[in-house]
Amino acid sequence: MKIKRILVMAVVIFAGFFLQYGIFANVPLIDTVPNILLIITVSFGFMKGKIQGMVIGLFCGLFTDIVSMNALGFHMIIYIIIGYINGAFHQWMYSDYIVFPLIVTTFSSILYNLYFYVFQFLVRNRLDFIYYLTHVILPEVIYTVVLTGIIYQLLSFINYKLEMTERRSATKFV
Amino acid sequence: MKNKKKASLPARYLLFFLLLFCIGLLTVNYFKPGFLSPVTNAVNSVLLPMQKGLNHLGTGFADTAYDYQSLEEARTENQQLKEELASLKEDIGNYQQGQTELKQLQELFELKGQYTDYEMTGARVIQKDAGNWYHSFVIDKGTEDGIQADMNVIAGGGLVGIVTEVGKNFAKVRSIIDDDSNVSAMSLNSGDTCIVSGDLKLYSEGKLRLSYIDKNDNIWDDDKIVTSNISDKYLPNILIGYAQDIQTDSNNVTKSGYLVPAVDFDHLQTVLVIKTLKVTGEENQP
Repeated sequence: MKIKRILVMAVVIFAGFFLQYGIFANVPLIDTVPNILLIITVSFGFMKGKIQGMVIGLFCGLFTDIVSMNALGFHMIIYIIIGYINGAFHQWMYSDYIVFPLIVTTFSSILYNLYFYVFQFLVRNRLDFIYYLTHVILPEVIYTVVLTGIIYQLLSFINYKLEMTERRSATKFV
Repeated sequence: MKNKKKASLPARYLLFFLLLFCIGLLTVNYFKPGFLSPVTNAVNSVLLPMQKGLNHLGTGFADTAYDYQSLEEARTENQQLKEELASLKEDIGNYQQGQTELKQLQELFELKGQYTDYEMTGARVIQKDAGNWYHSFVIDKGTEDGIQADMNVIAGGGLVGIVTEVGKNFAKVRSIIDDDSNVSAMSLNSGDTCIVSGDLKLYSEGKLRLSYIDKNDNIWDDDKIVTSNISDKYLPNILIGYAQDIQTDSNNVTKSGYLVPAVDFDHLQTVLVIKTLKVTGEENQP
């Protein structure tokens, strides 16, 4: 049963990765790219708790690090932290309630972009935070949150199906 | 309640352990850059070909949308260009005369022609950065095709960027519009030097920053700005763009302004990589 979940998660992360880098990075007229991998990390952290959130964050961060060919570990840190924080909200999860996932994604996306701003731009003396906030951070946050509405539903359906099969095989043992 | 405590304790330790692991990776990377790149390269050489197909799909949609939108623009532009062509034809006659004279003089000075002589190879852009903070992209040629780090990349007659990482069948190019990019440049007319730096803030207006110009230097609006002779990575005399709004800084010592790049970075699909590396005379140093 564990293996099935691992396999499904691998497929989900791969699909999210290709969606983000293959499709959304090439959409014209909109310069902003939504962060699908962040949505996946947030959603599963929120649905399954801290540990799964962290593990999925680890792999999403690893993917981003490898593909962006920057220092390995830079994206991993923030994805792991986001997975952990959202796992802490797990106890407030009600499966059919979409507003709360949207709120946690908003804050996670802001946190992710702030981390970027501080460690990539502020350290190089780029001080005009308001500009970056309005022109880079907010568009990405809005785009990401809008997509969360769709992707969270899909992921929560996948999670529900997985839990059903897990519960079925668990009862066999008991 | 008991259950919750049991679950949260190991999670905290795991977080601590994973963060330590990441910091470890970053430390390794800081002290030994390139130590982990065999790993990333191996993964990338599997991932990128898969993505190439998807990318095709993505740009396919993009192109159709863009085509319709630009048809109207193209019509009016066509009219303008026809008029421009007529006057340019006149100019060509004058230039051809100058060209032959130049050739004779160049032979006299044994100055080899500039970047028309470099060996180049074409490459396709297969991935743009999906983050919104960077401006770099990946091309579909790597060490197998003789690409090396620090090779210059051009397109449409202007400088695009520089190769920063190379894998077997791909290479990463940091474009000059990246916020972290600085290019040593000069005015084609006067030879006075300046620095062209990318700025995320300015790029939305389609500009780059032009700075460190001496107050008395002869760089004016609409001057052609090219890469300078003294740059240690960029080959000399590659067109970067045109100067704009040059003004004296408040310190009254230097001037600065903006640069409009010669390349259209929004619709970059194929680029040329110059396979000649700049020789700076420091090659034998460790």
